[in-house]
Amino acid sequence: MKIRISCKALSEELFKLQGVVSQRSTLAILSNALLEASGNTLTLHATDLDISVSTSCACEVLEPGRVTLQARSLFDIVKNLEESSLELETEDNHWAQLKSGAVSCRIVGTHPDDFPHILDTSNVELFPIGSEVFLDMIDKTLFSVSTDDARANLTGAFFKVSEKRTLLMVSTDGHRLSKIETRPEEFVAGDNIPNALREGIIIPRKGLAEIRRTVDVKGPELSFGILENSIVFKYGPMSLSVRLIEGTFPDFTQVLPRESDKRAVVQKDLFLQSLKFVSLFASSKTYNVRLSLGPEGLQLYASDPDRGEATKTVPVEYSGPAVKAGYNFRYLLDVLNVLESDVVSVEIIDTLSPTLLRDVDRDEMLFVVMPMRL
Amino acid sequence: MLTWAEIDGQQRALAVLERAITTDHVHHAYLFTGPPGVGKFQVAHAMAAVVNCLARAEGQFADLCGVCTSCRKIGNKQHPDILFIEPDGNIVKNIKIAQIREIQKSAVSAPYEARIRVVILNDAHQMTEEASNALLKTLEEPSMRMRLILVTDQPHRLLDTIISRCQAIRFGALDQAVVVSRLELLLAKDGEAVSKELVAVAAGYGEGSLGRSLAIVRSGMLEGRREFLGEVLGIGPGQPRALLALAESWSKAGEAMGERLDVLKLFLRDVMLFKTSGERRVVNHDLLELVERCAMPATIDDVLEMIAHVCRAQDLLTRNVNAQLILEELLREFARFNYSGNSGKTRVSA
Repeated sequence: MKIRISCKALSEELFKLQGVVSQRSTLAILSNALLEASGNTLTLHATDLDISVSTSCACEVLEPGRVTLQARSLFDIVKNLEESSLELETEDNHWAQLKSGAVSCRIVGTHPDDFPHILDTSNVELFPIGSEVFLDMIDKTLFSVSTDDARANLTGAFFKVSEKRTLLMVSTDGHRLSKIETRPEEFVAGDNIPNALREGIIIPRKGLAEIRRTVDVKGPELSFGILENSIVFKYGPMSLSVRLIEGTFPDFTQVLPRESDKRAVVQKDLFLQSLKFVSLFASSKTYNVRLSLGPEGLQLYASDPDRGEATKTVPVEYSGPAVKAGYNFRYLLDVLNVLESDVVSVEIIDTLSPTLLRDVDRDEMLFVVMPMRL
Repeated sequence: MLTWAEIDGQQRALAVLERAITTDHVHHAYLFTGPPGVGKFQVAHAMAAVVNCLARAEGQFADLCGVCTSCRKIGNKQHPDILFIEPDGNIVKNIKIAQIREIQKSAVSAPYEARIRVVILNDAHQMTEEASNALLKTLEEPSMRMRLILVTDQPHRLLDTIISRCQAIRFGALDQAVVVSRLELLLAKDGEAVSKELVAVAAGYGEGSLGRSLAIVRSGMLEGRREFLGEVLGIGPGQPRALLALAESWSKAGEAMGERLDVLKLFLRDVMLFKTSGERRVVNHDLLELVERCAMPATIDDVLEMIAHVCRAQDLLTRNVNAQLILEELLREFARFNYSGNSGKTRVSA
């Protein structure tokens, strides 16, 4: 392989790979990137076996071929070159010789066949999905994805195309649940939606985080498709495939509380600020904060034998009977932090039933937090 | 990585595995047991490659091709689905629970590109207690496309519950002839010239373990053997200075100290065998005259007693007793042994 390429273009593409190349894997090859030159493009691949990123850029191919080089160090090398272009040529022992202006170096490489199998994503049927809407869906659900490997099916977000052609994303860790259902303008799907999507798939946490990191709302169009057991995202020249989590997502409709009349509407900023204040007195083991709804308003209370106790009452629109329940305040903060509206609704049914938090302006999403025993 | 055909002297074990592959009944977990250095790990490695070789049709056994991408990656230990778990650590080496968790994490999903994911736990007895208990769950509920191979030379150190969840495959000690031919091959590959005679002696020392024989050749212990035995057997009573000097220089030898005791033990064994059945089974064949000279006047009981002394010295050394004192004591016994039965002369004149 022999190519001539602009340093800036190469370092930009290499940057996109850095999120998935791992330094500390037992499999040394995973810290490498696979470079493929053919036609007049250079394609770069990197994978951590769960997420694979491929990206390409234009370059002058003097001799087509493939090589794998250490992704991190190649990025560092290219970033620090002063000239505008460089020439990369592989040797027989799979090392690569890099020349740029006065610089000449040899970089250790390995046989390209040692690189893990890369999914061929060129023939996947893609559905456009508005990047703004999709990123919003990730924001609203990512925080409640479980981190407990013992329940692998919860370590990702459930994603499904419903019969009404809406996109549904749900995540839960057993203590709380986030659900959002949207209908992006960009998403026009006929009857050819893959079965997997109709039934729902589980996208792992890391894959969602990686999308969140690389996709920019102002960037090119984002589209997705299903290939074997991966979901493939295309974003400009870049394609990102994420291996789906096998297993079934629990039937979450059962834990969703039914509409109740005990709905309280509260100013979000005030609620957030009060919660932060009262939580200063929450136990550092249980993070427990008690919410009580009554005629005098929403009362927040926390106590800890080592710190003392505190209450704060915030005004609410509420007409139901008095109820109270205890929560892990961090779960409440997580929800309030992702809501954009000025007012939120809180529905406490009783001390032990799941509590519902909603954005009053946006019906399409809801958040459930399980109370703690007081 | 060796191919199936290149593995010598373990036909019985290989036959069991071949049959499992042919009938497509590869057990979910195997326990490879047997002395160290007889090819257990090699078989496990080759097995992982055979099962996944792209050139092999499913449901029939064929040796690994060695050239397909799967075989290449497995040979280089760069295959994403073949996990090698080895004892790890700076001071105490063992297999930790984090390493077992790693297996469990990968077991959740289907193999990345292999037909069957293979996990090889080398020196499985080095698992910590927590790691062993964590592994039980994986052994209990194996995933469809994953096989475990536990390799160990000390199965008694594994939990009974682990052993009962695996199909045990016993690997025997290798025949002397197999060790000799393999050893010659390996040494030739590394360009090391070692005489045929020494190779045969090393094979004897290894007691059917290729790995140990190779280590013995590499340690250079064989070359110094004659001189060293001469020194020990040359000591007689009334030479306290020579005895003390020898003990002192010996106690400073560090690692080699244990090896030298092994040499002594094996030499005494040869003496004993020579007395009862002639030269046929003698390991130190190149030192036959020395063996003979020693064997002549001694009784079997004398030799047995000396072996017991050497064993005791080895035992004490592991217990952190002052090395020089142990060796002085041992050499004193040798001085007596060398002298006994001889009228005023040691058996080997120093």
